[in-house]
Amino acid sequence: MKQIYTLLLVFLYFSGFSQNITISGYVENSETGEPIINAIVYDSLNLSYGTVTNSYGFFSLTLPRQTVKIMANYSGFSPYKLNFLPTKDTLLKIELIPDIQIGQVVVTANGTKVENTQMSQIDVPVATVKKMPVLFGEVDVLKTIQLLPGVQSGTEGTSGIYVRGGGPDQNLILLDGVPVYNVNHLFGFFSVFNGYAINDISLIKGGFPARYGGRLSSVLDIRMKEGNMKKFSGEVSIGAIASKSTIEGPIQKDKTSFIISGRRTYLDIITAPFMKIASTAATIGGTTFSGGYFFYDLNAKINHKFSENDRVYLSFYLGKDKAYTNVSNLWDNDYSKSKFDLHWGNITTAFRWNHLFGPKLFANTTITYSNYLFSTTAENEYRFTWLGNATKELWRVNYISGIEDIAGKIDFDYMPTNTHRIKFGLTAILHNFKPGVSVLNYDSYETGVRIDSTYGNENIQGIEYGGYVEDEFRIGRFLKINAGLRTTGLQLTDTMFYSIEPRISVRALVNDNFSIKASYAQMTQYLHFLTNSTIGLPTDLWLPATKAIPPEHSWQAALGTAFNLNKGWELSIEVFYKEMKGLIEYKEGESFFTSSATDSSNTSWENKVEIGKGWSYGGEIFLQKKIGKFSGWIGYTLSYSNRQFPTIAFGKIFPYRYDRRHDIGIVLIYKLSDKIDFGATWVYGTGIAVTLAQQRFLPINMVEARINSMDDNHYYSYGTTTVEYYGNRNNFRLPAYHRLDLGVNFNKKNKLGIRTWSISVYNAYNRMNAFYVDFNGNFLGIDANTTYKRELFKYSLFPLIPSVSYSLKFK
Amino acid sequence: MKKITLFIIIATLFSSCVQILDINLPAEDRLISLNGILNPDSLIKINLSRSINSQDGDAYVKFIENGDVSLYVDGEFYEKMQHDTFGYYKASIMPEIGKIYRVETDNGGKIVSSQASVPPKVNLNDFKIEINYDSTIETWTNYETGEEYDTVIYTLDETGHAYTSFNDAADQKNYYFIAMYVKKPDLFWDDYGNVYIRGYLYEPFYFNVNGDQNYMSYQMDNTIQGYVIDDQLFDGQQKILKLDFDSWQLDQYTGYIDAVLYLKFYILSEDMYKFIESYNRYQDVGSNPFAEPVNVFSNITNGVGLFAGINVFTDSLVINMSRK
Repeated sequence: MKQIYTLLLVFLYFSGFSQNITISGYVENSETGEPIINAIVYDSLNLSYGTVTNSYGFFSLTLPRQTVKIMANYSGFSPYKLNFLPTKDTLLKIELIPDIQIGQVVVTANGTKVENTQMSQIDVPVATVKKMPVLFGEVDVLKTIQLLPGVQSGTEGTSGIYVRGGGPDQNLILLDGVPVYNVNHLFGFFSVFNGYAINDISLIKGGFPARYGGRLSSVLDIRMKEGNMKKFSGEVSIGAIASKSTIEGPIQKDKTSFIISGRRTYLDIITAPFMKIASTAATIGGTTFSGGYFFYDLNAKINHKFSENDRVYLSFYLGKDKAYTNVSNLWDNDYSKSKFDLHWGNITTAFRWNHLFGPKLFANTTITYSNYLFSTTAENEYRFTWLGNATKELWRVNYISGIEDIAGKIDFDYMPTNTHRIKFGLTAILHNFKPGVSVLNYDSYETGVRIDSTYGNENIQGIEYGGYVEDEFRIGRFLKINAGLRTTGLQLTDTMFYSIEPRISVRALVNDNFSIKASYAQMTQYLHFLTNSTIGLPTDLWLPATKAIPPEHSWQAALGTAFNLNKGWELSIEVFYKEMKGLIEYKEGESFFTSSATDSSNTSWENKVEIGKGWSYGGEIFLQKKIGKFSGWIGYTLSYSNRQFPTIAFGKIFPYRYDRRHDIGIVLIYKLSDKIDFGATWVYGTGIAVTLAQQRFLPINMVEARINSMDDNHYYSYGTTTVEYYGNRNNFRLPAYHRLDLGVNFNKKNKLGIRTWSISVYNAYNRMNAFYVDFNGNFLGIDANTTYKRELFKYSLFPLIPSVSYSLKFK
Repeated sequence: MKKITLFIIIATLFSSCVQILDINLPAEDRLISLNGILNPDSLIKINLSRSINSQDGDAYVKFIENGDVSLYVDGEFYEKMQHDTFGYYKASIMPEIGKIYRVETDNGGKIVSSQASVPPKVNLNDFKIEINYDSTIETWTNYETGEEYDTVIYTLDETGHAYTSFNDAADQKNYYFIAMYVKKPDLFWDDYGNVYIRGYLYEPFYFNVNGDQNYMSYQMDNTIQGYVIDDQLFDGQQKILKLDFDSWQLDQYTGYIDAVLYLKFYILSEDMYKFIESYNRYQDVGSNPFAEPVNVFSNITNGVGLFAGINVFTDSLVINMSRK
C-alpha cells in the first residue's frame, strides 16, 4: 500500500507542471548527421532553463508556455539559435554547423564545468588528441588520458592509467558501453583504441553518478563515431609502424550510416624478407627461422533511424596481438620443428536501441558481448633416424585464459520538469571467467604412446546485476544536486554478494562563472585483477570475488571549485580522499609463474594472494582551453597513495607503486593557420616506487657459515651468506620521469581532400627515463681488498624518437 | 659536415638505454644484525654484525667486536653480556621457561633491541625404527670340500621408517621442527698427517614426514636438516610422526660400532617459525623477476635479525644393523 501512496505522490508532484511545454530533440553535426554528446541547450531568455544532450545527442527541456530563444552550442561549432512561441510539446532536430573560425563560440554557465553537478569529470576533445605529438606517430587515447590531473601513468611508454591512487583494473573502460578488459597492444605500449574511429572521450574520476558502477576508481567512456549520415568520407594514414584507414557514409541518406575503421602494424611484413634471406642461406643441414609480431584493430558500426522515436546501433570491435616464431632444422629425411605462438585480443559487440516514449522519456536498451582471450602454444616435432629405425615425436602445450561477458541493460532518461532529470535502469552481466587451462598433447609414432590431457583451473560463471536511480534536481537557481543509489550483486554457484552504493554530488553556483562542488560515492568491484607485472602482460587474469577473496569496496569524497575564465579558459581545483578495501596483491614471493611458495601442493590463485586495504588523497588543478587557435591544458596533481596488507612487509604501510607525489601534464596545441598546426606535450612525474634492497645482512642461520668461511684475518668469504634487506615494499624511488614531445602537422587541400604530413619527436631532449632498475651479477668468492661491487643498472626504453606519418582525409 | 651531422643523429638515436646508478647509502644508516637463540640447554648468546650496502660483496660483512650489550630478565637489568669471538656476546645464565629475556645494544644513538622467551618443552614418545628385510635361501658350494650348504641372503626394503609421537597443547599455535642425524665414530689424521685421532663424525640423515614432500624444510646447520610442522591440523591432539627414509642410509653404517641415530625435536617460538617460513620463501624466489621480493622476518627493533626461543627434545637409537 505504501508503494501506491508513493507513486501517487510522485505523480501529483510532477503533474503540477501542466502549464509547461516540453521542447525535446536531438543535436547533430550538420555535416555528418552524427549526434553531439554533451551539447548545451538552453533558453537564452531565461538562463534557468538549460540542459545538456545525453550520450545519444538527445535533450529535453520543459519550459513555461512563453516565447523562448533556444540556443544550442558545442565547442567547435557555430551556435544554434531559434526564437519561437511554442504552443505544444515540440520535437526539434538541431544541426550544429562546424565553425571554421572556432573560438567564436558563446560560452555560458549552462552545461559548462561551472554549471554541472558532475565533478571530477574531464571531456577530452578528439580533435586535440589527434593533433598531439605521439610515439611512432600512433594516436593513443590512453596516453592522452595520462596527461590529465589525477591520472598517473605507469612505466615508460605504457598505456596503463592509475586514477587517484587506484590500480589499472579499477577503471571501467567502456567502448560504446561495452567493458574492454584488455586495453593493451604490444604489452601496453599502445592502446587498443583507434583514434580515427572515436567520437567522444569522457573520464570520470570521482563523484560517480549512480548509473556507473563495477569499478572503484574511474569510468572512461569512449564512444565510437556513428558514421556519416550525409555523405561518404574517409581517411587513410601511413605511419612509422602502422597504417590505418577509415571509411564512413550513408547507406540510406539521413536514415542509415556505417563506419569501418582498421589499423594494422607491419613490422612483421617489413622484416619477413630479411628473415627469409637469412634462413635460405642455411636451409640444408641448417636452421630456418621465421617470426614476427603484429597487432590489428577493426572497428565497425552501423546505425539506422526507423523514425524520430526509434534508432538502432550495432557496433563491433575486434583487436588482436600476435607474436610467433617457427624454427626448423633439416637433415636429409630427419628434422626438428618448433613453433611458438602467443596471441591475445578482444571482441566486443553492442546492439543498442534508442526509443522515445515521449518528449520526456528516453530509453536505451543495450545487449553486449565482450570476449578477451589469451592463448599461447608451444609445439615441437622431430624425426630422427638411427641405424634405419626412425623415431618421430610430437608434443604440444596450449594455455588459454580469458573472460567472456554477455550483458543486457536498459537505461531510462526521464526529464519530467526543468528542475529534475531522473535516470534509472537495470543491468545484468553473465561473466564466464577462464582462469587458465593448459592442454598437453603428446604423440610418439614409435611407441604409440599418446597423451591428450587438460589441466588447470575450471571456468567460473557468475551473474553480476545492478539497478540504479539518480535524480539531478535544482533547488533555486544556485543549488543543484545529483543524488542516487545503486544496488549491485554477484551470484556465483556457491555464494552471493550484494552491495548498496549511495552517491551524491552537490553544486552551489556562486555566480555564472564560479561554482563550488562536493561529492561522495561508494563503489563496489566484483572482479579482481591478478597481476604483478609492471607492464600490461596478457597473462594478467580477471577473476571473480570468491568466498575467500571477497569483493573490493571504496568510498571517495571530493570537494572542488570550477571557474569560467576569459576567452574560453576553464579552471577547476579539487581535493579528494579515497579509501579502498578488499584489494588483492600477490603474497611475497608469489607470481603467476610460481606455485605457492609455502605450499607447492596448492597452486590455487586464492592461495597466492593477500587481501588488504589502500587509501589515497590529494589535490588537482586543471586549467583547460578547448576553443580558439590556442588550445590545450595544464594539469597538476599532488597525491599520496598507500597500501597495507597483513603480511606484506610485515604489515607495514607502504606506498603504492604508482604513488607519484607530483604529476604535471601540459598539452599545447597552436593552430597557426589552416595549413599548419603545432603540438607540444610535457609531462613530469615523481619517480615510481619500486622494491629494491639497499642493504644486506647476516641471518641467524648463516652466522656460523660466515665464521667458518673466514680466514684468520676475518676477510675471506666463500659464497653468499647474507640476505637482502628491503625494509618495506616499494622503498625506493626511481628518478623523476619527464619528457617533452613536439609535433607539427602540415595540412593541404588537394583534389581528393585534405592531406596531412605529421612530424613528431617523442622525448625531444632525449631524457633517459627509467623503465626499471636491477642489480647485475652474483656474489662470488672474493677478497675484501678488491673493490668488487654489484652495479645497479637503470634501463630505459625510448630515447629521442622522430616519426613521420601521412594521412589523407577525403570527402 | 654532413657526416658529422649524420653521426650525431645516429649516436643520439642509438645511444645506450642503460645507465649505471649508485645507491649512496650513508654508513650511519647501516643496520645492526642481532641474532640469538634462547635455548634452555645453553648460556644465552647473541651475535652482532653490521649490514652492508647491497652492492657490496659478503666479504664486507663485519662482526661487531666492541658492542655494549645489556641483558634484561623480566624487565629488570640483569648484566652486561661479555664479548667472546666473532661478534658473539655471552651471558652468564641459561634461559628458563616462563621468563622474558630482552637484549639491547646501541647503534649511533638508536637502541637496537628485541625480546624473547623459551617455549615449553614437549617430549616425544616411542622413538623406534622399522626396516623390513626380505630373505632368500641360496645354496652355495664349498670349493675346497665340494660340499653344498644353504645360506640366507637378506635384502633391504627400499624405504625404512622411524616412528614417534607427541602431544600437542590445545588452543594455541604451536610450531615444531624435527630432524635426524647420525653420529658415528671415525678416525682422523692429526695436523702432522701421520697419527690417527679417534673422534666422531656427524652426518645429516634424510627423511620425509608421513611420506609428504610438502612440509617446509629447513637447515639449522650443516648437520641438522629437517622439517617444520605446525599444529593447524591436529591442535590439541596426539600427533604420530612416521619418518620415511631410504634404507641405504642406515645400511651404510653397518660396519660401524656405536653409530647412533639422533632424533631432534624442536619446539619453535612463533618468531622462529616466521623466520624459517620467510627465509624459505626468500630462497625459493631467488632471482625470479616476476615475483615480488620477500622480506626475511626480523623481530629486532631498529635493526635486523632474529632473537627467538626454542626448546629441544633429543632422543637417540644405537644403530644395530645385526640381521640375526
